Amino acid sequence: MTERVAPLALSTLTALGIAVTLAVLTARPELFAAALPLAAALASLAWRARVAPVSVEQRVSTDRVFEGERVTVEIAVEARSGIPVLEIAGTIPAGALVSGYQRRVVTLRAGETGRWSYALSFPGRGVHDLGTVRVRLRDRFGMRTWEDAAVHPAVVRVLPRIAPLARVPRPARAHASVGDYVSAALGEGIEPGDIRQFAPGDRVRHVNWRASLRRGELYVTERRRERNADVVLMLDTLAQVGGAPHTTLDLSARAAASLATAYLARRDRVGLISYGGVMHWVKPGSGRVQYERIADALGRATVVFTYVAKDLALVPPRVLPPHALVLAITPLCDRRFPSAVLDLAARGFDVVVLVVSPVAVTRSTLVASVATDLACRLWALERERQHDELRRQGLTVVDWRPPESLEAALARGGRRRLRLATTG
Amino acid sequence: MIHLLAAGFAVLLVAAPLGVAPALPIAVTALAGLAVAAPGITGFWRWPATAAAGIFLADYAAALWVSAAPVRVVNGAAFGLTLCFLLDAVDLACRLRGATSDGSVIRTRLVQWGIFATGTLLVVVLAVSLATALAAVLHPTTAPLLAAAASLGALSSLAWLVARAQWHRQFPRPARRGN
Repeated sequence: MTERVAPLALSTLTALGIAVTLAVLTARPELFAAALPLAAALASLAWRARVAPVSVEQRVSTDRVFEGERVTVEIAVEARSGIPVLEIAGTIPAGALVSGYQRRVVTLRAGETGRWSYALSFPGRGVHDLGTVRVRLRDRFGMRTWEDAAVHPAVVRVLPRIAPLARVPRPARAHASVGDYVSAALGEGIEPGDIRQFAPGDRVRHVNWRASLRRGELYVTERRRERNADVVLMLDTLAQVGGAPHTTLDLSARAAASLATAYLARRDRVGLISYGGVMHWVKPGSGRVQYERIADALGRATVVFTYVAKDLALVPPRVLPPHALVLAITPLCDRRFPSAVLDLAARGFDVVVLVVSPVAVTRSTLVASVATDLACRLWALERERQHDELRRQGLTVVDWRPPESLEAALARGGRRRLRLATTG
Repeated sequence: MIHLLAAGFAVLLVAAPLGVAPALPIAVTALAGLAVAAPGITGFWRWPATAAAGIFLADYAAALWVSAAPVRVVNGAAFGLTLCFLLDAVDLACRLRGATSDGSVIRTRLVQWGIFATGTLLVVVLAVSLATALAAVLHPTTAPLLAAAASLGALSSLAWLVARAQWHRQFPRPARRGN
């Protein structure tokens, strides 16, 4: 424990100095007598007080929440000896909102345990450590304090909010693995495809009894093969606009989490590439565990400034499988990201660019004025030109202008693509 | 609650000089002290309270000097105690700011203040009784010698306290086994 002289000692010393000076100047014993309690309180500093350390236990209700959800932190402190004043302070991560008090001041007798709890809600995604509890003990006269920090690992992951998506951009190419995309080819599946005459080796459960009775001979139902696809979400972490928790990166992370959930529900293999100052990736996979991996990576995604343009050739093929649908989620604030996306398109990837409009995000942080309005309109026009340029290169561009729902943006932007896309 | 206590101590410190010398300048100074103390009490700020303590002391000294009242050492000790409690109450209010607490903190503090006040006043009363008894026995010419001896004693005690504190800082006692 770190021992310190409390600010009260300095205040008392000041008052003592004034009292003694005035006593000498006025030659009044009352002022010496007035200085006596102050001197007695200060004299307590010379006595060496022993402080038995307190034991602190902290319990966090959960280690994984979605944005906007609450975490309850319970702290218990047990005193081994009597403590006149004990201050305990839990951790408040940056951006978190506190319900109740994260600090408590108590008086504890020897062996007594003090407990209290407070709730934290996290408006934005991230990974936070709540493990540090600061303790400050005060002696009887308040002239001296002892400070300590109890560290218990308690990491809370705040995952991006998920919006349910009924329609998502359909992959142009699919795999032979079982999924939700109905293929034109016949094989194992549940969607009926064709009816043909029974042949030796056909299974009895495939016999179409209605057709067989009508024709007088056995017919079987053939079914369409069901396939899945590889989807890679490419998150732009080169730049962001706006204030937390509503930056373009936060919105992009929410969109990526929603898209990942929707594709994983369709039994697709979903991967993630964070393209920025530091590149991170999650290998495509399917199932609940894969969602956890992606959500964890999205929770940690942050902008790392760099002048270096990262080459996507560094990404291993197992992370960026051939014929994968690449969903690039970007505010298009950095020129390096469109270059990387065009590079992918040139390499034969099916690329859809979901543009998170920074115009609306920026406008919400500015004071409304004619100049702001005009600047935003000019910026929006410039961005339209940028989108048209990408469209001319053959990319599908979906413009998402929050607070518009992602579902609406995808429905609007993906209409043309839905008509063109085929599933092979 | 702690604010009320601090405010109560401040009012007592305003009233004490007026009890000694009920004059307008004394009242004005006392009210100035109260005005300085107010932001410290309400705004959880130690230094206005310290400044107010200085003003209250100056006001009390002025009142004693102006009135040339008979010596009342116990009153002086009570004034010092009130000053001490004002500073402590403001310090405690600062510590309680933005924190949850139960009544036990203030209750314990009140008990400790009570013990400290009783002890201090008892010591002062005993010292005054002893001094009165000695004054009857000793010749007035020995007074300067006694004052010098007392000053030497006070300085020695202060030096001893500082040396002891330094010693403890340099050579901390090893922790007891089992702690």
